[in-house]
Amino acid sequence: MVAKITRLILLVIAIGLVGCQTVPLESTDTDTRRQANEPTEAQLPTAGAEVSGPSQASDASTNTESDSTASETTPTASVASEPDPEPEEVVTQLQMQALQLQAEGRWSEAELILERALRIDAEKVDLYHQLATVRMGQERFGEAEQIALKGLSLTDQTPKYKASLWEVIAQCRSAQGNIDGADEARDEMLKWMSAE
Amino acid sequence: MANKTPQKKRPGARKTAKSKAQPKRTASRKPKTASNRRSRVLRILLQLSIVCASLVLFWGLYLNAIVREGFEGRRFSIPARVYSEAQELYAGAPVRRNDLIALLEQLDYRRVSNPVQAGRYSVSSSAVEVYTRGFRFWDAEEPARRLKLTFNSDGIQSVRDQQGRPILLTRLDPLYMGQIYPGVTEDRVLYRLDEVPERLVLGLLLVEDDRFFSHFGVSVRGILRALVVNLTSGSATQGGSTLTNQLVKNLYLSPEKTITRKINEALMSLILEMHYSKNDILETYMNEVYVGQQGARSINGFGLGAQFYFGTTLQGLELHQQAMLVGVIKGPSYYNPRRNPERAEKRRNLVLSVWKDQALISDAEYQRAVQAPLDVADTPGQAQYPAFMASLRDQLSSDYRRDDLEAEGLSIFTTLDPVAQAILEQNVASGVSQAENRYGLESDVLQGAAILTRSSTADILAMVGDRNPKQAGFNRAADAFRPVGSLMKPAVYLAAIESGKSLASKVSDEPVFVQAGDGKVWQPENYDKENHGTPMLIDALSKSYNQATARLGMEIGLANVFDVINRLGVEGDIPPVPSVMLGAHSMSPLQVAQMYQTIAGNGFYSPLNMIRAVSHPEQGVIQRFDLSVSQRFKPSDIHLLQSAMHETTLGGTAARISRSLPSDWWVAGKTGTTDDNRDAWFAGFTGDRQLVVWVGRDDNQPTPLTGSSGALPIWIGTMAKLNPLQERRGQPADIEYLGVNAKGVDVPDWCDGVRSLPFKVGTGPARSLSCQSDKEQPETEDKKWWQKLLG
Repeated sequence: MVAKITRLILLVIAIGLVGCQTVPLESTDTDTRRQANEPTEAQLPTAGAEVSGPSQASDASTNTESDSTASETTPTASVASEPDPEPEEVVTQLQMQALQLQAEGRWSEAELILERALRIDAEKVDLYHQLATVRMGQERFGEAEQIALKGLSLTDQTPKYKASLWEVIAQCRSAQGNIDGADEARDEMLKWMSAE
Repeated sequence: MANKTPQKKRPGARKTAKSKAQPKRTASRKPKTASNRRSRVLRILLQLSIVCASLVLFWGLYLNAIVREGFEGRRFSIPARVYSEAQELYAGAPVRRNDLIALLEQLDYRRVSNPVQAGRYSVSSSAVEVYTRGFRFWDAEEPARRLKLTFNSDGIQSVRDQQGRPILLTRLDPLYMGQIYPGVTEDRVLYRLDEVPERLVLGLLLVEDDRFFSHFGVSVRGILRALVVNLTSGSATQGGSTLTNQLVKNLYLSPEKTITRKINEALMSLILEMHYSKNDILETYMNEVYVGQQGARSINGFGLGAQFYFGTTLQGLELHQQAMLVGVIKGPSYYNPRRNPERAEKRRNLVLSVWKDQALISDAEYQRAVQAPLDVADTPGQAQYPAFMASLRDQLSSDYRRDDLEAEGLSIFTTLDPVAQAILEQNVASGVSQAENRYGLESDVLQGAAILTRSSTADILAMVGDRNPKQAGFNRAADAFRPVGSLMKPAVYLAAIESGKSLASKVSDEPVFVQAGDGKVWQPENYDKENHGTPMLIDALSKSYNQATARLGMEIGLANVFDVINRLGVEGDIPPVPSVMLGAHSMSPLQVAQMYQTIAGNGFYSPLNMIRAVSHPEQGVIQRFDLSVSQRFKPSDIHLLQSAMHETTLGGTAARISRSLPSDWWVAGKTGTTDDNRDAWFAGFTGDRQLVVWVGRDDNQPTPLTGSSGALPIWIGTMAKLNPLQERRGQPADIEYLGVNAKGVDVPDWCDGVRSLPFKVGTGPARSLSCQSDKEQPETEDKKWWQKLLG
């Protein structure tokens, strides 16, 4: 018992003594020259893991001023086989992603993507249609109807878009018990379908 | 020694010595037998140790509570960080080369000749190459990658990766705009341990605590070694700190160096190690460690350190930069690579040599790294958007407790567009100064505010609340309520259109007297003090005739006009007096933007929004602001109003637009000027952008400015720079265009001076085959209210 207590006291004193030492900022040599002791949970990285481009050191020294010839030496210059995608493809691609999520019932994720698409192309009627169907999936019929109505106010007069928006509106109105309104919407839908 | 013990420990022994008959001092002077003395000492020691043990126990329990609470809390005790909108990159994106370069500079990307590291870009005559940083967005993670962007006059022409393959869509990291509450000074970005480059972790351990994975929080060996070294070298150069010790010190303890603190540190380290895994401790250390200071802002954690010193990401750090970051921990001020480069370089190279000695890096890597310059970025600019942030605080404070915003580590993704914000700031500042110069005003008497939104989504893209846009304080964009003048007129005309009038309907511009409710007579006059006969509605609005508008409003009925004002989204108590029709009501630029949003949004009300999403470090997205639209007006009615507001920009009070902006732009808007020119307004929209500008004096004194001369130039300058994509303008199905002459008669197209105006099907004017037809439309004015009023 006595021995234990003595040892404890000694340890405390030892800790205390070290605590009293100030750690000056210079003379770091001893501090850093410790024995290597590799942690068991981590492996030393392989040689190539963190290696970056061979010329970086010299680049870095001249970094602030741009050099108009530099980027032409990169390997990208020669490869240009594939054509650039049209901006529409960007939106279409996002719509496809959203459609996939819709199929899985992941409505809010689908919505995020569609809203991103909308920021890229605010005039795409099709997007409003898809957004409205997402809201229907979320059973927010009032909002779905409003989004479809907004889609109708856009520039694009393509009859099939008009028809599909009216179809959504009809469904939303039915779901909300507005039978007369749904009938009107269905009439509009038929009108645009026949206009095609 | 035995002699002294009883005396010295007397106070502690007193309690237990009660049973003794004579615990007097005199007693101890008596000689005693050796065995007696020993047993007495032993007993006292035993009693002492029990007291000590319970003290230690209670102390330990107390520390335990502190450690657990502190550690759990600390891991997320991070103030909410606010981010801007991220720039989308795709072929066809409407961002021009110079704007992108300016944005990269704002994001602290560094211009180099060959961007081989995240956070770098290069510019050549043909392309901009950028190595993006990557970012964990609320909806997805964007990887860091090297892209080559080419441009045409409209914006980005192509986006390709390093292999030359086209990239469909990617985005830059968003701009960090600061914390919600400026008082909080510690800043850090959380990284998971598995996101930290392995070599940085190992390198840190080699330098700071090579036995981290084998000790229990306190390194006895370290302490002893420190003792030995310090004693033999005769100076105090060695500390026995483990990483755990350092973390404890940072998390819980004051910086003073006392024995008590050291003991607490050791005990708390043991407790910490008992409760948490090595990886948890290491991860927290890397996010917590203090690495630098920028003014009042303390830079904590390697993630932010990489950004702060090198403008790159943790993953993007080069070897020599990793070494500098590890090296700087020892004394972020002393080894500050910006202020003390020699010292810092020495320290870095020392770290590198340890890494080489311990075979963490190869000889060749070492050689390359020690020869590399420090390569420190310029001190990052701190983005300042006081107006936007103030409004953001208002919006957030209704949904979140301040404590949560200061501690939960939330990321707030806003709708601010840094490119547009910079353009707006610059135009407000220069526009206000130019107005002062033009009219010979004292400098700094005028003030300005502006709000830019995206009409389709009602997102606030930019906000300026002061001509010195970085000036915090009074946010005029949201908090300056000023009479809106003619900005209110569209509501009157919209009410008229809803009531069945067409743009070709005539209205009298004769002087008007209206008996107001309080017995006073309201007698509005035209700005030019002239009467303009009986103009068509479209001209009365575009030329902003007060008398015609007052007459029209009284004819339609105040109730209807006020109903329209309300549906447009103007909230609050509006006094039910006729002068409101001409803008006697005071509104903030933000409220005006909300009202005009409904017009620009084709009659659909959408609440203006400045937050895209709020995400929590553990729970993910906790709040989003969905697109919300609600139809308030018929598309055909709004179409007519928009056409009249378009006419304003062609031949009306804002005709300067048609002279200044490209002729293929479709612009609609309205000027506003209040009594004695105290306020100059312009609100309008083109493409998918809506902008409201106010210029006036804080002391509400008269100015020589009108909406057209004071606010409009700022609007034009901003839009010219923004260059919004011009979409073809749509037309509702029940709208037809007819050619009318100056009398408002539907005449054949070949006639001189015929104007093509939109009409709701079935509301077209009388038809004539003669160009000169003067078969005027019946004057719209209904004499009844007029006669009634005048008795």
